[in-house]
Amino acid sequence: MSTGIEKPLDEMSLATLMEYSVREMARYRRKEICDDRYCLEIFRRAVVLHDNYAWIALQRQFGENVRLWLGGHSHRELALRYESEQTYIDDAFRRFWQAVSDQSLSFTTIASALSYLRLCLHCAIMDTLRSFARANIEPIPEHGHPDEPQVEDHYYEDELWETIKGILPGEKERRVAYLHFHCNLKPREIIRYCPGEFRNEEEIYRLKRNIIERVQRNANIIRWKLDGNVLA
Amino acid sequence: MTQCLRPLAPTDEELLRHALDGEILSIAAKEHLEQCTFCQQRLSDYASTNGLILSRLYRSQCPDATTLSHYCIGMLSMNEAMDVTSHLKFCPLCTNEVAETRLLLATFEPFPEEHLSVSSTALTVPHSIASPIPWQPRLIASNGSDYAREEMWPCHYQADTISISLHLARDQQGDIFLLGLLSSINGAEHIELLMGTKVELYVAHNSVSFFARGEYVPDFTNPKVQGPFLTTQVDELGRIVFKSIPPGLYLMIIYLPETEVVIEELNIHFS
Repeated sequence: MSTGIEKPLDEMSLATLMEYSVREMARYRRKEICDDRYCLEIFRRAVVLHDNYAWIALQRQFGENVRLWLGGHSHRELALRYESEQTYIDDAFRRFWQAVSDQSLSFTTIASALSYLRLCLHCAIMDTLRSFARANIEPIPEHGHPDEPQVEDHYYEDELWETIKGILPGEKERRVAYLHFHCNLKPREIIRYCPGEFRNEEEIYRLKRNIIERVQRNANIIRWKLDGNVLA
Repeated sequence: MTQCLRPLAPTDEELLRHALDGEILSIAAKEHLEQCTFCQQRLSDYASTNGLILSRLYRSQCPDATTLSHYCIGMLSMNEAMDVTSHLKFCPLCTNEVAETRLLLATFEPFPEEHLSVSSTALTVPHSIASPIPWQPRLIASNGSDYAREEMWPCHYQADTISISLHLARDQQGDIFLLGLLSSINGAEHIELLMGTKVELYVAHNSVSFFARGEYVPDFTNPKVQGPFLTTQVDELGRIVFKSIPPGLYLMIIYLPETEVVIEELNIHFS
């Protein structure tokens, strides 16, 4: 617990607040009784007063926390293939800042603030993995044929999906189409993720074949959707 | 769909499995494709159709990670939360992400340690010694090269509701790799929730068990037990893969959410 506080928190210098905050966080780490008012005051100055020095101080104090959380994240190895450690740390703080600024988030304890900061790191990782997974899904080049010029298609995903659903006769076809086109799941993954929905992989392969056949038969309609025209 | 009439032409089924799901074509099909422009066009049509739609639709309806996280901590409006709930009913990827996020929140440590050594982990986190299940005989195809000793591999273990099968094999370069498969003996549990679970392989340089059954015996005198020799993660299908393992005696630790499973005395070598 703090002793002999001579000034109100809002009158203390940032350096003093930092000193006390580091001391109290050390007590927190040792699971001792601590006073997180100093750290919360730094947060207040950074978020409410837009004090850039206070924001830098927070990043310096808790940057190591974020780095260690990244080190223990279940997707750490995959995440670090795409972006550097510092990128994730910076992104976590950026998301935290955006959340407290835009959504008027406030924290009454440091624990809740750190919990949210860790969540921001998690979101940074998951969004990165998702974007790279999406970037890796590209049409396979034609086998043995020269590359066609890339044409930027304007489309509406929802319209495209509704059109595809409309040409599929049964619920199971639509379900497999969703799991394949929206989730990029292989048949064995579908069996695992959706237990009990399908008898076996063979059934899924049969359904996928039906789906592709119907899509190819209705290529003109789908191409019209890809051109961005909406049917009345 | 039009079939190629030439001999050994791949069926539509084969081409679709290859184009949509990346399944490896048979050698005969590959050789045929190299010669047949008709089948090349068939494959190209499947692949381009699939790729175009997949690239447009992949996770296009999924909420972003921030929305899913806010859903987990109750920060969404009622309408937003209802939308996410509806989406989770049919999207297994988002369902998995929500489960991961909730696990992350449940295991929050504001000041984590940089490196959790085996000793400190064992002293603070519950762990269980996986019990070996009597080996079930299986046929091993002998191709004249080395193969795992029949009396050792595959190995089967059980810890609580988790069943673990370990298999040993050699890759094309002759390196030993260890393949593990986790499964739940409780049908209600989803192994995919263990995706990303850390698994470590430690070298045990002496024949004495690192963990005595029933109690932890720290091996502080062994300077070579500094940390994990190899680290990997459980994939979405519950598989564990360790590549290029030198022959020797090992110990494996699987860091499940609520406990650590220790597999002792893994004798990795080929006869």
